[in-house]
Amino acid sequence: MKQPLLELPDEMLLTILNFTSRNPRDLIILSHTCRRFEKLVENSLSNTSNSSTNDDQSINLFEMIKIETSEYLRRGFLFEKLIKRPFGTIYDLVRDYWTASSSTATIIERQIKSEEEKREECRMALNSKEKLVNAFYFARMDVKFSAFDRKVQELIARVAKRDPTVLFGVILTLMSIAAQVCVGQYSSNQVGEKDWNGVFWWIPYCFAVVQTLLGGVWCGFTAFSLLRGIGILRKLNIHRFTTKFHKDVNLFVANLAIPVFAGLILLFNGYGMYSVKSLLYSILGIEMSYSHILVNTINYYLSFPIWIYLGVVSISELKKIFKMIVPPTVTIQSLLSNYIISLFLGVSCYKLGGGCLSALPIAVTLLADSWEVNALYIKEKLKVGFFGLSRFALGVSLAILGCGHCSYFTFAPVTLATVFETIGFLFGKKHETCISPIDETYQ
Amino acid sequence: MSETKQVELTSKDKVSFKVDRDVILMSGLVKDMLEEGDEDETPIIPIPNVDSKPLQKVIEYCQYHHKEPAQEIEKPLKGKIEDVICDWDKKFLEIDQSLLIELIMAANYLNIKDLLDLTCAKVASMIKGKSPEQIREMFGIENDFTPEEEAKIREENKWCEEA
Repeated sequence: MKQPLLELPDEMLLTILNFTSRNPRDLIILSHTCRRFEKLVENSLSNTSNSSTNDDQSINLFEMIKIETSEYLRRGFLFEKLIKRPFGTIYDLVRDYWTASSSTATIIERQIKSEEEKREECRMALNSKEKLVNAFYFARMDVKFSAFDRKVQELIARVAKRDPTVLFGVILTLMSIAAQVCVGQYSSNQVGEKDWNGVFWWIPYCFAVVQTLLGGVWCGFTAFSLLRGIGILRKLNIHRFTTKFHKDVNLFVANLAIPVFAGLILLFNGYGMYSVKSLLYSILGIEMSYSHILVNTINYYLSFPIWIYLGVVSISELKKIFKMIVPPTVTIQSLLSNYIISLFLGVSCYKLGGGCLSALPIAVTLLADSWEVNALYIKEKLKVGFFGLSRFALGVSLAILGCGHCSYFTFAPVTLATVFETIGFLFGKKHETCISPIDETYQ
Repeated sequence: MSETKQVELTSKDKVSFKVDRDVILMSGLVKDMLEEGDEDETPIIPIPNVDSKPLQKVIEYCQYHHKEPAQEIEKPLKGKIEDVICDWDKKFLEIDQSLLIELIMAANYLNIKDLLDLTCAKVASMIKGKSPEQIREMFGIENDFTPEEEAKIREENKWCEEA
């Protein structure tokens, strides 16, 4: 391949290069063309570097090129051979400086980049670590909560397994004895001193105990729920970018809302329970002996939750009865054994006749209910239900009371029935759950 | 009216060119030879290293710049060569590459500095600002570096290309 440019002698090529540029960078780029160019540029730079020691000498030599070029040309030489390339040193210095500065800049840039990358890695690692720590923390908390949940579940299961029938029977027996004593006490009082409030003062406190226990359970539930809510709140930080976020938010709201709701119910229901005395008295048609306006007013308003509850239940009961009447499946017995209706009837009897007459409808209902339960148990050859006999006895006692007979023995049937049933249950081989035939019909 | 003395130049390919003595005295080589030689009417000067075609161009150049001295071309070129030379020179340089190279060699041999500068500057102008690949392609230069060497050179001189 013909390469006319390379046919030129080195001197010519150097002249051409000298016209091209004196910038070492350009010359070095040119040196990449071929080996000959490389050699020319290298020799040029190295010779210049070795020969020149200062700028003044370089300038003088350069001037000499101009002056004596024709002479050198005449002799067939160019300044490559005789002239020491005056700018060689400067080129070398520039090149070295350029190389060093470029290298330094590159190194610094790389170091900065490396540092930034390391910093980013550290930041990510820290975030990951924080997330990991949080995850572990909450996982541990979850385990604790799970353990707590499990314990609560086990406790509930254990309590559910434990049959409270005996305890309930004992409590009923004690209450019956107390009622027996109170009614006897009432009967032994003089006519002017007969005061139901004076003998049944303890009834509200019985409910208060129940209410306190219930409140305790709710407090525990509230604390548990709040702890759970705080745990979820901490978790939100981790799950804020995940799909679990909304779920956790809902759980958090629920865990805060439930205790608040439960607390409100506890508050109203608790105060409502304290007013249960006036409620019971009003249901039974008993006039309260005291007439403290403030207490009555408070009791009146605080008993709203119970009245609301009774109202809702009444509507439910009426709906059930209506369903039974429209297709005529309702029986007189089922109507008689409806406690809600009997309560309304009792209040009505008090308004009409006053006194103990208001106890009669409830007594009738208890007798009808117990008759049905006992008939079912006998028919099905089941053990006598716990509440069958007790209900019957309570009905009898209330009937006696409704007839105006008050003595220490008025509630004796109830006491005997509860004692009998409790002992019978204790000695029974197997307890069978009571099935209310009325409830079954409703279902 | 006095006759102008002439000189006969014989090229490598035996082509003779009669040129005015004053014109060809621009060549350092011819000048030296004429000073050393006899005072012939028409001296014959052999130019064994130059073909007729470039020699004709050299004579053409000398004939023009004998009367119109060429301007000195600054080294290195600040821009395009066309910006620093006259129109005649521009037209003169409209030649193919091989002839241009031959002209450089002729100018060097005949020791005509202005022509040498002009032609070298023309080639430099063609090279200036080109990459090694473009230069190779333009002048048909073979890349005689091995790939490894080329990679090494590029790596060592990376600072030039990054600048």
